[in-house]
Amino acid sequence: MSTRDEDIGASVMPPDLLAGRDLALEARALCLEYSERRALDAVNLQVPRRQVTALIGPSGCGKSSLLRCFNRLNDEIAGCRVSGEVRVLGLDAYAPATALPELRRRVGMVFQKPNPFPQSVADNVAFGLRLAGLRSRLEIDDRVEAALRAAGLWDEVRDRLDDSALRLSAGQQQRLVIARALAVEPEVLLMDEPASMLDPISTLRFEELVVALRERYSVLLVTHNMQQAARVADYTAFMQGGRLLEFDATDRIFTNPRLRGTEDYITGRMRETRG
Amino acid sequence: MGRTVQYHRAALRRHDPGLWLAAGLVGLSLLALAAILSVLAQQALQAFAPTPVAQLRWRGDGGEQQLLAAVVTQDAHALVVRGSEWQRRGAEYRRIARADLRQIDWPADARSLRLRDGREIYLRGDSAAQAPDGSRLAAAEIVEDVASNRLGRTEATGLMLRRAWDFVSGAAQGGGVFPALVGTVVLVLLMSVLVMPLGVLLALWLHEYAGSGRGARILRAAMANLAGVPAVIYGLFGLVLFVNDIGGGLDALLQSATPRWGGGGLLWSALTLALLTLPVVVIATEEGLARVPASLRHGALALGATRAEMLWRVVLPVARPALLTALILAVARAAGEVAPLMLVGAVKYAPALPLDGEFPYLHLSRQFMHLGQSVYDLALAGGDVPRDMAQAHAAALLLLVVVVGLNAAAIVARNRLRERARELAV
Amino acid sequence: MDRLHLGQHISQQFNSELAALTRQVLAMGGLVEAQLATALEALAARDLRQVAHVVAREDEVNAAELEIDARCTQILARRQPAASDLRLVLAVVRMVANLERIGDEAERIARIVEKLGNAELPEHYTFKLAQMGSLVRDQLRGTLDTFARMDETRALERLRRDREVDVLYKELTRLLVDLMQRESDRVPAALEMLWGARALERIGDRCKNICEQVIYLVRGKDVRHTGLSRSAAPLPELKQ
Repeated sequence: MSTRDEDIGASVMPPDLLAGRDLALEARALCLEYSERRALDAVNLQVPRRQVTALIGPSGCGKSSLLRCFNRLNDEIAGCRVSGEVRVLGLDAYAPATALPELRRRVGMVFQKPNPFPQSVADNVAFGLRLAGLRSRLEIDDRVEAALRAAGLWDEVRDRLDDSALRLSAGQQQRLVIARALAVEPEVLLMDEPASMLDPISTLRFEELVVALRERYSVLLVTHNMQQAARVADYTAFMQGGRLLEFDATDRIFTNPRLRGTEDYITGRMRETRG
Repeated sequence: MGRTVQYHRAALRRHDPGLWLAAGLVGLSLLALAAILSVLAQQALQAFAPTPVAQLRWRGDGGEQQLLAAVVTQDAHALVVRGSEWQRRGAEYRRIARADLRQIDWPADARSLRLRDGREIYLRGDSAAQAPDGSRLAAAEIVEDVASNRLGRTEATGLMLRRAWDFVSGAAQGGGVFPALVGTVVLVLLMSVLVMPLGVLLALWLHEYAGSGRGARILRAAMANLAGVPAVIYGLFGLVLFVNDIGGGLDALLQSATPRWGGGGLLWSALTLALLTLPVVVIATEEGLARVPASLRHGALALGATRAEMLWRVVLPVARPALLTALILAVARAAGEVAPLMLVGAVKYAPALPLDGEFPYLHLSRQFMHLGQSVYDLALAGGDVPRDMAQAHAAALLLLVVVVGLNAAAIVARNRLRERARELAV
Repeated sequence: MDRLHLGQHISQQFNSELAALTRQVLAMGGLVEAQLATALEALAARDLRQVAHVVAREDEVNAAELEIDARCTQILARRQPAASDLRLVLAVVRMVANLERIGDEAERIARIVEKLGNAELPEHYTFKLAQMGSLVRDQLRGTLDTFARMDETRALERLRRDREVDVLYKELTRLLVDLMQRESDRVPAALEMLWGARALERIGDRCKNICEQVIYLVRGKDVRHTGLSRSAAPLPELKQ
């Protein structure tokens, strides 16, 4: 069985692509079913540490479902069943002993729609810190500032820390929720189409930030925007119909992908469906 | 705001029939409310308005009779007058047909005295009040001495307001409704304190934990049905469960000689009302919870919040306006209920207020008075129908004011919260 | 034949843009091919009128180069092409530059006629040059054909046939050097012929470049400077 899995992995990815790299996330033979529908079908994915990995593919291909396996946010959906193996920083995410809050603290997430809480800017960023039991005001203030700086938002909000977060622009809100995620110092950041609601300038700023984040974080980014994947990602995975079809260096994927399907998708070709 | 106005103007220009229908129905209900209020107010005023005193002469059964009396009502055929009540309150009403009436004067020196026990005596000039049997009234008995026919407009209004205030504050003859007012307000507040945590917890459990399981489905259906059960059945349930079983059990446990918890009381009434309003609270709260966007829940969970932390720190604050709506609905339902209370603690006369300066200040086991009960009692008391009916209307008006006031307070609070939420949502 | 599925984009506009681009490249190739043919004929017949033809064509070729370049720029800016589309545009830009140079070399060949004047050379030499000329013409035609068909196997064959041109070139060079050593009064004419041979050899190299671009375009593998023409290595795998 395991040898077959490796075969699948080998066909998806050039054999020595990630040789010598630490892995932040890993999925092995991962299957996911919603009550009637199979969303992921034997997915094998390896996400290297401190790199940006993009997940691309047509709508409904399972990108977001795959992303949400890594912080087990899929648990929220009734009737969702997972089989296979998910490893986060080497630990089995679905093991009974795994504490969910702890797992989610190490794996931050940024959503498609900026979702700041209806609280002040500072309280938003401090949310995770307070959950983690931090009480010292001074320390919280310091970490809030550090997170806002890391998210490239500090200069814009330093005088508005007590304003409602919902007054910020969409681009600022998205960086705010990134700051909120960074404040708890996760090791991995999952991003689910984070720039799809942003205007082009905010998008560029956001992409700049993602590239900067890879110094310290492992980023897994779901995006519909292929140029975005091409701009920010070190590695790109292509998914279709719940399967991970191709994983390679971004340069390779966008100049000469190995599979026809990948090529058709990234170049915007239509293909008669077979079988 | 501006956009809504614009929309409405556009709708008006388009002569949208739906709009006219809606406006008409709203107008109709406002009209109905105004009618109820004006009838109540008009009737209630009669309880406090000074009645003019007439010197009457008429042909009675035993020949011509004369009397100094207050004219209570009059129409084209007859007068209803009230003579001096030397014996008993409400015993001296007389109906005089106009055909029999010989003479009616409104002497300027007429006086009406109001006694501590609510009786009224009419005299003329400076003469001291002397009963037909020759006994005299003690000065301490007299609480009001008014020259009824010489009152100017301002004096009459002042007198009316004073009487109304005495009625509300409890200084009026016969006690007034102050204890009932206090009882009503305390009861509703206590009910709110009891029902909100319970209802919110139940709604949280239903909405967040139970999912769509069988138990949750049954509970939800039960809630929907409970909301339609007649109130008096809750009263019966409260009587059996709270008063007899739990209260009686408590008394047995405490080995008290006289039943303390085993009779109707404030706590049992509040609990009964809490049960009565629980479905409303649960349903409204659940709706509010459902409206909290999933993105916020997921955001909190993704930051490592446990389910409880997510609910407490994100979902409940966002759902606060909905909780207040639930409270408003609960108060509106509870404040107007009388029937179940008669079974579990509201009485016609309570010896003491449920809230006073004596430790422990709030007396949960005491029986209490309730405005609704007062209305009922006054309307059916029968001793002095004109005055009692007027007082019943006054009490009803007061009850209405209390209900509207409690609701208004909750609505103002909710709107303030909403405004803050909207500000946050800018 | 649409081996790269250039006509399957969801955007019809993009499809027709790419189709127009390849058509234009082939048209420019046709122009250059005709230029070379005319130049060779002019050389064989010492016909100055045809020389003028060749020179006149040069403007057309240059204009075609500019127009195709502009089109490529436009596609890059507006479509942000990826994968095979991107490779097509890149390959076209490079191919067009090579085609333009081929045009220049053809002009150079034609101008030899002017410079030779009435100077005679032994038939043996002119025959060799004509032989080399027809070989190069064939190479050019075949190269354009591989592009038209997006046929990377034939492109590889063409690429390897460039060695035949090189062999002929070396032979001719040696002969001409001999001639110049023996008969010093024939040096100017022999030098001109040497230039002509060199121009043909350059055209062969440029055809080779174009073949490399065809392989890059179809297989996504850049085979420049890999010594592929001298080895017998097979092409990389074609995608499934």
